[in-house]
Amino acid sequence: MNMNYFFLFISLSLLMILFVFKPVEIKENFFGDIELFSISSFTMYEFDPHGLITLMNGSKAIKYSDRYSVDDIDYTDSSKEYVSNMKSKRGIYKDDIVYLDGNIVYTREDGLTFKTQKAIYNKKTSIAIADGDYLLYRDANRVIGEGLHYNSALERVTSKNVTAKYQLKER
Amino acid sequence: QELQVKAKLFNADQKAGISIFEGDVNIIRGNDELNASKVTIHTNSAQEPTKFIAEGNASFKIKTIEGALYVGKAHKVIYLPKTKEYYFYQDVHLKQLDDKKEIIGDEVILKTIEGKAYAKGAAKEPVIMIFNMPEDQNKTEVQKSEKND
Repeated sequence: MNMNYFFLFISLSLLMILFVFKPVEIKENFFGDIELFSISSFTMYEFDPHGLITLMNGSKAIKYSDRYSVDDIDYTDSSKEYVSNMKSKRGIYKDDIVYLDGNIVYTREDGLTFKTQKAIYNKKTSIAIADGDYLLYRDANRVIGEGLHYNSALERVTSKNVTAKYQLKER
Repeated sequence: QELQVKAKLFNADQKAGISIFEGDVNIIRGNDELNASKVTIHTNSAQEPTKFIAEGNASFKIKTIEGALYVGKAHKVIYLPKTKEYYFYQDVHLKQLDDKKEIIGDEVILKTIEGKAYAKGAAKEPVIMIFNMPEDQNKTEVQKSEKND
């Protein structure tokens, strides 16, 4: 057989590799949301140049790359004029926002307190939002309603379908 | 004493001490009741209510300390809890039920502690006071008995 044909055959075979062979698809595992560490019975302090701005403790916490997931969260925002504290069964703390879930008790230093089941607290704006039913009270006055929007910095409350009870002093 | 307020919308500014209730507002305090479209409550630094302003088709039922029962309506009603005084403004129609007295005017003040009402008419309009005189009462009774015979 002529040598040229032989070399031609070899070349063609080699060229076929380019077209016939496909890269093997190796399943790429994306390890984005992994637990960096898990701690229990912890207290976390956050400081800025002015001092303590956040105090958070809980029975158990898992730190992910972008958030903390905390059981029995007890979160205190000390960065404002009035310190506010919020407790709940579960909480997620992410980018200065606390997502609270289960038996929430929000208390402000001046005595204003509200209780609800789901709430979001934005530390930057110090606004707490609870979409469901809530009970809010301060001193002897109390309000029951739904859809609470509370701005702690401006001390403003907005809500729907409320029943408020005031105590009048008898003369 | 407890005062209850029900409403569709609630806005409170604690710094200013102002709470605004809007949408079918209903206020109940003991035997007294007040309904209006909007009620503004002013509170003092101790969070105690100092003034109630009801606006928009306000209707009310009030019992004075001596037991006199008033019902009526007005465009605007102001209530001062400390002195237990009601101030009614614009198209005021106040009826004392148990005594069959009526007051129609533009501005009426009801002092529930003293059990007195003061009325003022609008410009060029009189205050109308309707009393059920005892003689009238006898006449109506006589008329009734004649009808029955």
